[in-house]
Amino acid sequence: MKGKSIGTVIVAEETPNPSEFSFVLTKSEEDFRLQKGMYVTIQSEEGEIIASVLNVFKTNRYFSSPSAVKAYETSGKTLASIFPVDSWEYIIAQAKPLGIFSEIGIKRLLYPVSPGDTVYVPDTGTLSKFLGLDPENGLFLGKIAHHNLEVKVNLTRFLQKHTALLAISGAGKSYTVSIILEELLSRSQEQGRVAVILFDVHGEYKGLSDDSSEFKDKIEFFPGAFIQFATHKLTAGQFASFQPQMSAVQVRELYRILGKLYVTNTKQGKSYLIKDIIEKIENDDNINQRSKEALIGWFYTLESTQLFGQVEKPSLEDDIKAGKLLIVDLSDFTSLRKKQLIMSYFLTQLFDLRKKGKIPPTTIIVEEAHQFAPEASINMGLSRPIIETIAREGRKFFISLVLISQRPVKLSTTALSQCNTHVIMRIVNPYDLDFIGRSSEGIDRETMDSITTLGIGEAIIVGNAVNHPIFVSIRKRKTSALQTMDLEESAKAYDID
Amino acid sequence: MHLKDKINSAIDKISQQILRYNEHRRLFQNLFRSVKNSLNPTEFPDSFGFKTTDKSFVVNCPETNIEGLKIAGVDGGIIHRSLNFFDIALIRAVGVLFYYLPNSNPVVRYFPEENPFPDIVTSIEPLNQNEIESLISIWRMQKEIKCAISLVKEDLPDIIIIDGSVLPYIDYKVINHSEFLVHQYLNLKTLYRQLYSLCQKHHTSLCGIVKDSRSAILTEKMSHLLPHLSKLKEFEKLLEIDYRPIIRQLRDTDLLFQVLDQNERTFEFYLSNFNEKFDKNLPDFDIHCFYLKTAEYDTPLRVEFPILFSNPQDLSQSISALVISVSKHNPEYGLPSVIIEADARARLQEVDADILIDEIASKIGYSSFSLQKRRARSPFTR
Repeated sequence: MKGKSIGTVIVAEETPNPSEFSFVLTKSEEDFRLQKGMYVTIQSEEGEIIASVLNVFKTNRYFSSPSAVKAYETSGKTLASIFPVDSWEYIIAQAKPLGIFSEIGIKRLLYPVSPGDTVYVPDTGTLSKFLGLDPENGLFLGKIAHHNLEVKVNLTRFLQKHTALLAISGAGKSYTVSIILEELLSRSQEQGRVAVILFDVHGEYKGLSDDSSEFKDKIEFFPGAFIQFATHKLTAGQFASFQPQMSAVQVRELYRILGKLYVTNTKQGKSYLIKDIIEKIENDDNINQRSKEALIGWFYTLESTQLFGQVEKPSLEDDIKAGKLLIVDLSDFTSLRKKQLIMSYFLTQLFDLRKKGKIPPTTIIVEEAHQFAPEASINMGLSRPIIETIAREGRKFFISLVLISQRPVKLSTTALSQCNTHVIMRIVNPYDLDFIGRSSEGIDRETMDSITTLGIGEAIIVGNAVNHPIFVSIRKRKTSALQTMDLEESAKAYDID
Repeated sequence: MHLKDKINSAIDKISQQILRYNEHRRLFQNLFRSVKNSLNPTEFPDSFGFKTTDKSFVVNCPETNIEGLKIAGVDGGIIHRSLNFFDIALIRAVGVLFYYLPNSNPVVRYFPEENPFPDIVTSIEPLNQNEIESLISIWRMQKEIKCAISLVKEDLPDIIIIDGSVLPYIDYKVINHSEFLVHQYLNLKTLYRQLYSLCQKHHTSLCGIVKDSRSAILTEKMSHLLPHLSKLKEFEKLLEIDYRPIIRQLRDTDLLFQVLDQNERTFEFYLSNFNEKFDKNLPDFDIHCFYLKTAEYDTPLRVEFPILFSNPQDLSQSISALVISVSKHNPEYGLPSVIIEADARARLQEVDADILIDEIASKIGYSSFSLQKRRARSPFTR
């Protein structure tokens, strides 16, 4: 259903054509403020042609000649005091047709609109359907400001094929994550709930589980100091992923050693530790001396991380629950390698548990994803293989990733390319922009150009979650502020303490 | 000689001629400029007419404050098509009134409205090309004068400026074979009389602005007068040069562009009376004119005005002051702002006529192509 009429299609340079048309605003600027990024519609026999406004510009014959303006205004008077300049101001918009929307669906527009066609503002219901939003059960991320339309993205379309949240530092990534978390935690059983695990690299999300938070009962905050791996759950392959230099022969030997431990310990209901593995290697006569020394050296290194114990903490089987959030605090760790080990361990376990159906469909949120799945060599990113595996295969098992990064160019191309939805906030680095342009499906030149101009809390959603790229003003958060301080606050806090 | 050499030679020859002419002309203009204040037109009634009252060839225009005044302008737009069976024209005229208030931008009113829909006029009279051109001019002037009449009636401006002459310049010899054309012309004259009378009644100054006048009234008068000025000392140098071929080629505005400074006008002089031989018992009006330099780097405007009240000299001073006040802002383009605005509002696009002809053609079952005359529908791009 069309809304109010705002303009009329005009003939401009080689337009209207199927990919572009221009229209003149027929309302006064006071009655209607036409803005870049707005959606407009034109009635056609096949349905409503929905278009987005690519650009808006003003013309005025009195100001079209620089020399004339200068000549008149050097007289000391303004042009407005000589001529009725206001009445010659026209607002022209360039618009890009996105498709024809009708009861049977959305079709591509293959013919031009006609000069003289009336341009309307689409009603929010039509627009919501056209953009592929889910007003009933979607995740309410914000609004399309120009239309006061709530952006509610469908859970499946948003998460099943993974999402990447990309922005420079300070653009509002963590804020947006907290909005996504609020939405996921607010869902009812009937709406479908997923479990969520968040790896909190900077310790920002603790506030979400404060006593004042309406979600406090749904959030488990797990401090980094208590993180522990269940050593007996690790396979030779997983150990090898912790030490990429391990040779195939050494992995085979380790496999054999762990097999023995399985028989003597695990099968008997007893767990074992790294030192038990070291002891078994030392006492094994079949491993050649050089492999033995290398393996023992590596296991001592792993033991020194103090991450390996008898039981898994947090216990994924116990703590990953539908409609609940588990925050794993990694802010106490300074060693990137250690953080990658934790990521690798838990993601491997999560994927395994999910495949076995022992935990509900799960969403994994990875902050600073470029640190955990760097495009650089495997040695630099121990957790990259499992992130890439989940990115490739996770959707079949309903385990999804939300990768957050401020340096997408440094993020694994494999992982990023599997994220079918991109939430892009302000980015200014030209390399990152170029990379986004190449890796984001459905992003056009005009949308790309807008990325550098986005304000704090503004985002573009492109990809699977929506039918067309949309500009969103991220909504206000229900929970308390994230635990962040500015430099001044931090300095005061240190001094006063 | 090769073709290229022939062309180059011709270009050189033309360039040299132009340079020589310009040099000669510039010399004459500069010499005339130096004596412009020495000539008293009232001393030469045989050349400049008995009705001329200004005592100097060049007159300084007074400055005026336009706050509280209403200054109006009228212009028309016309698009004409000669088709196989008839002539059709789109015509509109727009009146613009600027009401100058203290410390604010002018309040603007339009007559009949900001963007009036054009009148569509047709004629099936069997007219020749000259007659058609006269008819189109008559239609346009009728529209403009009607617009001016309604403007004066509704808003009583202090001055109304018409784009073009203030006289209905139509060659009667061209139209007098067609009863239809004569009838249209007489209607036009009636409208002019109505406008003059209204302005007279309300003491509204009325003038017509001719932008790019090609007339040579003044230079012709000067060419006759100059030989008689040899006794005057100031004119000795001027008369030493061979001025005759120059002045014969100069138009008034060519000469005056160099001679007048900004805010100066020529003396006012009698141009014509309104009535013609056949207007025996109708009220008559004297039409005077002067040239006015409104912008430093633009050619002077010819300003024509009927003597409706006051006297020619005072009217010239008040009209020139008002015209300058709304024309002086751009040193390169000295047209009154009200005329610039009216022109922009009245101008019609060629495409408007094309749309109209397409519509008519589709209604009568012709293609718009075949409806047009052969010269307008070459099957090949020109």
